[in-house]
Amino acid sequence: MRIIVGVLLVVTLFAFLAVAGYYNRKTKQEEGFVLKGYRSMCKDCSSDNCPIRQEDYEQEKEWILYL
Amino acid sequence: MEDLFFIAFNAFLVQNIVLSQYLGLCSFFGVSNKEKSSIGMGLSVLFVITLSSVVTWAIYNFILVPFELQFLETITFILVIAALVQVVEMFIKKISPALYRSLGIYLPLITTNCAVLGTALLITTNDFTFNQMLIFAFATSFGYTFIIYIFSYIRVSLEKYPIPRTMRGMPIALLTASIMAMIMTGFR
Repeated sequence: MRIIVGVLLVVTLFAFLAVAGYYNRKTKQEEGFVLKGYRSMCKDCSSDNCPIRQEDYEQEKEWILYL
Repeated sequence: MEDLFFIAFNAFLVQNIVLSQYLGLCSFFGVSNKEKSSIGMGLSVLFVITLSSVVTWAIYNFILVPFELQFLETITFILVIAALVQVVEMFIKKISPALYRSLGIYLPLITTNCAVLGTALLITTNDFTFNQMLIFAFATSFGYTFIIYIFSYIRVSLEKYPIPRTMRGMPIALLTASIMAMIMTGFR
């Protein structure tokens, strides 16, 4: 009995996390939305044509180096 | 009542989660370079710690203990925290996109902030009642917010002074944090 409850609890929490993660990812894919330091766009552009601010671009570069 | 006050004061200052227990240092150093970001991070952590503590306390006392499943507490708590962070992320993005952008990578990283898991585990270790848990969680996270704001204020102020080049940035931040931690030992 206790093993079933344990498995059910973990599976339920995993499912909750998966659903929350799915909706969260969906909101991030909205057009025109760029989050600094996350889902970086700077791999494909330079400082001249970067769509985000200069200081953010610098921070992006730091994060790419860090990660 | 006296008991609750003692728990709150202890969690807020004496056993401060950052400067006495050295938890959550990653975001403490990472976000504290701007006052606005530090307040945003502090409030996000406050929200996540308080909410996750309530949920984990309920799961621990009403499911894990009655079914003798305490060995599942770590994975359960991590899953609860991770799911709550996803919800908070969506919530902040809707409420304040500017704050969302300024927090950057640190917002999803609350999932791996050991202060959140540490608080949940400390609550189960100390066997708190619901009221005690609520006070402890709020005071702990408020202590985090308070300290990160003070620290960011000091870091921003330090930028105005002629500090030697080799000490600028992280070295002086580490020195400042260590002095603050030493001050905290005075409360013990």
